[in-house]
Order: sequence, then C-alpha cells, then structure tokens
Amino acid sequence: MAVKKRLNAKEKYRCMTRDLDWEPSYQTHEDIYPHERFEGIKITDWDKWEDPFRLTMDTYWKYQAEKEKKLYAIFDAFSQNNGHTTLSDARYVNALKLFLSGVTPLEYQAYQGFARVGRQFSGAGARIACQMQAIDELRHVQTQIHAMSHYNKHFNGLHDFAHMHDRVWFLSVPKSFFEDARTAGPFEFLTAISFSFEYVLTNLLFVPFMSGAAFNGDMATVTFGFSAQSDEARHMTLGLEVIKFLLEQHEDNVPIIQRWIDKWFWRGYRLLTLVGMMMDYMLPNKVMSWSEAWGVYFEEAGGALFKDLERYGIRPPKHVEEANIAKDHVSHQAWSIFYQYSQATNFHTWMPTDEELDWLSEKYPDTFDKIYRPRFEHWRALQEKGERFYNPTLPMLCQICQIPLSFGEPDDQTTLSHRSAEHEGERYHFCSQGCCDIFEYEPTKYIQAWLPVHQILQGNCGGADVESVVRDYYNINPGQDNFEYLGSTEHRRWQDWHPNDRNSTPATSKP
Amino acid sequence: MTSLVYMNLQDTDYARSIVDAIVQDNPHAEIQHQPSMIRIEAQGRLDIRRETVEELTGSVWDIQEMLMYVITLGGNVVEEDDSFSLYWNS
Repeated sequence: MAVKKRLNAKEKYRCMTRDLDWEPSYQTHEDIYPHERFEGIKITDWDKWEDPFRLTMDTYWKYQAEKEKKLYAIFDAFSQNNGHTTLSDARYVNALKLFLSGVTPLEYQAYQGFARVGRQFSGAGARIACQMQAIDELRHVQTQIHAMSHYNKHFNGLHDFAHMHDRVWFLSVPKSFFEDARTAGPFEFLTAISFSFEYVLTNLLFVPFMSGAAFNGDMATVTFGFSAQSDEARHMTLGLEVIKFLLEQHEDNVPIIQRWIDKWFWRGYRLLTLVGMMMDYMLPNKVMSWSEAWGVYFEEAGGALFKDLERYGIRPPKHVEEANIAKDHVSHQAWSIFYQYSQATNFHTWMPTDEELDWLSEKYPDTFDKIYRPRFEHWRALQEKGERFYNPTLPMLCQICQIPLSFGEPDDQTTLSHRSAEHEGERYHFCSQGCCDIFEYEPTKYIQAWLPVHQILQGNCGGADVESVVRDYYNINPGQDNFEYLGSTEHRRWQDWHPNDRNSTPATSKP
Repeated sequence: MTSLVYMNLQDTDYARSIVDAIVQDNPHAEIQHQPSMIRIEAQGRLDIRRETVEELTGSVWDIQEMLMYVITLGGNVVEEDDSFSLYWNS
C-alpha cells in the first residue's frame, strides 16, 4: 500500500487538534472544566464542533508572521515619510484618540477573555480556536499601540491611554461593556463577543471606518485595521459556528442563547453609537454615512444571518426595530454630547463646516434638517460670538451602557428616553427599554456598576470640580488635549505645516 | 428571495487576481470598489476555486492564503483543499 505523503486539510486538522487531546484518567471532566455547566448550556457531543477554517498551529504562525512583516514595513514607511502631515485634516486624528483610548484596551480585554474560555471548554476544537483568537487579540493590541505611537509624537491626548481607559467618564462605556462579557460564563462570553459583537456588529467599526481612514490618508490605521480584520474573518466564522453548535446540541439551549443575543445585541448597538459619531463627524473625507453603514452591515448582513438562524428557533434580537429607527439619529445625538462636554475629553470637538452640514442634510433627509441642524447652527452662532457652549453640569448616566441619558424615544426623538427600575429600595436609571430589560434580568450584577459621574460626586475621583478631576485624575492636560478644535494648539500646528492649504482650515469662526 | 453572501478583500495586487477568479467562477457576483477594498456580493452562494486563481496568477496558491486578504465575510463558510465557499441555507 502506498503511503500518502501529504495529509489533506481535514486530516491534518484532525491530527493536530483533536488527536492532541486526551481522556483524563485521574481527574474528572467536571473538575478540569468547572465553568462548563453552570450557565445551563447542555453539550452532548463536543466532536460535532466544526471549525470551517481548519487552521492548525503551524499554518497559523506562518500566516500571522507574514501579516506582521507586511504591517510593520508599512508603519515604517508611514513614519519615515511623515505620513501624519498628509492626512486630510488634523481633525481626523481625534477619531484615533478615541480609538486608542476606547477600542485598543478592548482588544486586550478580548485577549484576556479568550485566554480564559480557551482554558474552560472541554472540546479540543473549541479550545484551539479560542487560543488562536486570544493570540490574535494580543497582536491587535500591540499593532494598534505601535501604529499610534507615531501620532503620539505629533498630537495631543494620546499620552496615557491605558490610565484613561480605566478612569475617564465616556471610556467607561467600552470598558464596562467588555467587563460585563468577561464576568459572564464562557458560553455567554462567546455569544456576546464572538457572535453578537464580532459577527453581527464589529464590521461597523473595522470595515467602513478603516476604509474611511484610508480615504483620509491614514495609511497606518487602515493597515492595522485590515490586518486585524484578516483575523476577524476567522473570528466571525467562529462566532457563527459557536451559535450553530450550541443550538444543535440541545433544544434547551435555544431560549438561553436567545436571551443572550437580545442582551448583547443591545449592549453592542449602544457601544457602536461612538463609532457612528466617528464616521459622521470625525472623518473629514466621508466614505459613507453611519446610517448607510448600518443598512449594509447590520440590516442587510444581519437580516440574512437571522433568516438563516430561523430554522433553530432563533428570532432577530429584541428591540432591533428601535435600533433601525435610531440609525438616523444616534450619531448626531452622540456628537452633541461630546461637543458640549469637550472640556472633559482627551480629544477635540468642533461644529461641522457648511459643506459638512450639507452632506449630513443630504445623508439624513428625514432627520437632520428637522432636528439637528438648527441645534448645530445655534451652537455655531454662539461660537461666532465668542460664547462657545460647554455644558457645566455632570450628565446622568445609564446604569447599563453608561452613556449619558440623551437618546430620544423611538417614536419621538425630541422626547428624552428615560426608564427607571427599583431594586432593594434604590432607584436605577436607564437610557432605554433595552438597557432597562438587561438590568431587570440581572440586577445584582448591574447595581455594582462603576458609574463615573456617581464616583465623581462621591469624591472618589480626586477634586471637587471638573477641571481638577480632568487634570489630576484623568491625566488630561486642560487646554492642550481638550476643548474646541478651532484655535487649539493642534489646529495651529496643522496650519504651520500647511501654510498654503486653505482646505486644512475648517474655520468658520474663532474659538 | 435568497440572501446575499459577501466578502470584502483588500484592494491589493494579489487580491485583485482573486477577485478576477471569483468573477470568472461566479457570474452572478457583483463587485463594488470602495476606498482600499473590494466588496463582492452574491445571491445565495459564492465559490472561490484554487485552480482558477492559480491559472490567473500563474503560481501555486494555497486556499488558506485567503486569510491574508479577507477583511470581512458573511455566510456559512466551507473550506476545502481546492475551494472556499460562502452560502446561506435560507
């Protein structure tokens, strides 16, 4: 009999994953994998787990090494050629500040989360996939920090992102999202991150926004973004396989998974509000509006997905209609928050130029002129009179998503959406029915939320006034890193770099 | 109506050959050029065949090299030694 020299992909995958596993002889499965049962998920046969990519460790290292070589060659080229000076406009860099302090630490949390669940599953296929993903996520943290270290030499607000992530009010939005997932059981973590976040929602962050980075001359960001996304295709597939596997294993899993999908869709959707604002307001050269991106990457892609999952008894997430209505509102509502609280952020904000206002009017024909344009024109008029508006109060935060209460009711966006619920004699407040539902199912988890505004008012964040909290507790340099963009040190520096370029100045007024 | 499967590839020299191969093997696919990426959409199903890519590039290609160029995809994935497919059941 002839001996076959090469294994095909299926055989190789079997030999190098499941064949490396063994049956324990002196410890029980239950003792080795103690987290596998408490969530109520029933697994009857881990061997049914299919990894469609059949990636083995040797191939994994080969491709990842190649990706890294390409990536770092581009970073070098970008910095050697002073790539930051040929961006569309310095305002763009403010999106990167939000990215580095908001998203990059999430990659680290993802690494921690996958390293944990990769230890906790008794199925070898699932363990290997999670292990690779953990390493991917660590790579993403590193490449993002490297990419932005170049910007840190030339722009403000990027100097202490990890410290800020743990303390700054709006960064508690992404931070608490991931901590919520990581403190859940392993199956909920995978449903939250691999499925709801990676499969259903992260496209909205990494695809149109990165395409936008390219369109604004940021070669470094688009390169790390797409390099990360090349791993993401694998993560998304893992997310879908996880869900199908769990649903096929036992019918009792269906209602548990459905509840997690409902919860994590809403959590992820709220988190992406920040991305909506980055797309519509922080990219000087626009690629597509947030509303269009939501249409392509959620309504179309998610629609196909949930249609495919119908056979398992899974329906689209609860409150999805509200999210679809709000696609024409959330980016404007979020930019309004950040514009008026710019004294407490590590980046600058500004009012859109006339051209940008017209673009928004065109992209949001049913909402922008009616609700948001008049507000922005009012703020711009104040600014022209030298009375740039900053909100001196501290906002009320939602107990779940931790975003200031400022979203509208689904059927009337001019009415503030506000829900509350009582638990053990205390009243808790929410931005929406979606967030309120999440609280009511697990109140004992969410009463522990570290809400930045409450913490400031309780005196746990240093000083008694906003400026000292921002300066001493957040390590943001007041007057350098924050406030209005127009007239900022960064704006002036950009003008020095481009003395003849009128387009580099969005100026309609003095600060 | 069947749902759309999709795949976005980086707009690089090599990936453009993959796109050409996809167009050849999937006449129903629609190609959209966006800044720095190429999006391919198709009703129901999309297949990438190793042989077609190899014919177009004139070099040996491992189907797993797909992972170097993919930005995102939508659909159930089936990867074989000679092909990579996306499909929806519904």
